[in-house]
Amino acid sequence: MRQSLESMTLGLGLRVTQVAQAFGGAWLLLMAVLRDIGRRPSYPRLVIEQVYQIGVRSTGLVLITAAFTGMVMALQFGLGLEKFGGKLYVPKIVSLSIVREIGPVFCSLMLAARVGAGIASEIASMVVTQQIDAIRVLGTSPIKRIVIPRILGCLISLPILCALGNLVGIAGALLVGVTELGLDPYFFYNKVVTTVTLLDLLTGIGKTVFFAFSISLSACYFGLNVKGGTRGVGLTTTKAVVVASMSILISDFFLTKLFFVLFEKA
Amino acid sequence: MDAVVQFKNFAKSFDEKVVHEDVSFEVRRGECLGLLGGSGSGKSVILRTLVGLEKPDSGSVLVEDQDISNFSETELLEIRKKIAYVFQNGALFDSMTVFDNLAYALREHTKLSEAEIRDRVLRGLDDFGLKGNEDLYPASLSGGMQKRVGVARSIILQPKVVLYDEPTAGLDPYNTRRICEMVLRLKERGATAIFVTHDMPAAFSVCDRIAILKEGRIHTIGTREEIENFDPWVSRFIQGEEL
Repeated sequence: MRQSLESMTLGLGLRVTQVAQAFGGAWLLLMAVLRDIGRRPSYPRLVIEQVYQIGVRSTGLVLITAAFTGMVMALQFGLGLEKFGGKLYVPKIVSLSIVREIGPVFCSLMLAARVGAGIASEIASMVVTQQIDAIRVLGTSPIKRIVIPRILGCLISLPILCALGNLVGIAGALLVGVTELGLDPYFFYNKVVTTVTLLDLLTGIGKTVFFAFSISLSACYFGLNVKGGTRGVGLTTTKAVVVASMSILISDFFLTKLFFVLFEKA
Repeated sequence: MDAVVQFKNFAKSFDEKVVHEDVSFEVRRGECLGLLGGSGSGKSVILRTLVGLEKPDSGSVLVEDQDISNFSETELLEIRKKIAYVFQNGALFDSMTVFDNLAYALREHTKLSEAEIRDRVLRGLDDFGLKGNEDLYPASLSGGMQKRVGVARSIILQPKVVLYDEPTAGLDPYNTRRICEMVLRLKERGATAIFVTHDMPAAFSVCDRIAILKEGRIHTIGTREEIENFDPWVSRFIQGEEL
């Protein structure tokens, strides 16, 4: 009994230490990024390459997710509200949900899965094959060449993808509203443009800036701190995606609360 | 001759494993020092510490009289421009072609034009019998070719100090000779070197002195004649007999 209690305490202590270590490490990485981001040399070409890899190549995934999420939401709300004669509220509810919450969160989760995993495994493989050591030994900085371009790539791509996703999501909802729920397309459109305000759009897209940071920073941190060879690469990738997804969902609540306090609505 | 590299009471452990307890030696200017020892004796750790990839637990590591033990990454960048590191497995950038791998340091640290860089890279490849492979990616090369590209990349800036981490391991006799000739050529140009290897003939052909690591310390250091007659353990180690 005493032994199992001891091992449980030890296990818990170890876990807490690991979490504290990860937070501390990510914080130090963030400090290094902020210190180096303005210093020469800079690598704009690498940033553009990352915008292509992260943003352009994720467009299909994000848009398909957004379209079908919008369609499912319209269908669910439409069929549910029809029983109470509330079908006409579908454009309002769906567009607000997409713009404020579903669009930014789903888009970020998709990117965390695709890009977070990609970045973490790429960097971890580079560590395992000593390519990161080679970058350092050749007198250059992996923070500047590897980390900063990926963070900037995410920061530029995610808000744009989110804006496109919002548009396509609402278009998907409109399609289902018209074909399945029998709503008039002009009525749907008018309801959307009179309901959704610029503040809704900006707070939704504003969240993606934080999400982009957490996806790229956690992927870079876990990638750079891989342990245990090729097996470690797989574990690192999983860890990066889990941490990024969790931080998106958790920070979404606090950001919503913050925006509510700041702008008296959310 | 003045010392370019100095290790003073250097100690290094990884978790519970003590790799180096008290290592002290120096490498003189223009000298090639062979660093030998059994597998896991920490030869590569010494090289990695010299370029700041590892930090000493205690003791000091001096490069041209500067103690780099507590240098920040920014300060180390300057040191790394003077020191070339030849990785055991090449450590080539797999997203770049052979040409771009070699051009990397030239683009980063020189103001050469692309035409001049092309000229330097092709000459570098030619020195190692790699001409014609410049547009290939590392994955398309054999292990030996990757290794030679790694050596060519490391020395393209004509550094003052070169650290070779088993540069001849896995190479055929002809390419081993080629690497040894290149080490000697760089030595003639005045480069200081540390040559980590298990290849005794290669070590004897290029090194001025040889240091042997044992149990976290320098067991002996000296010329070939001096170490061969140092003690029976060293003789058995050199002959490849059971220790």
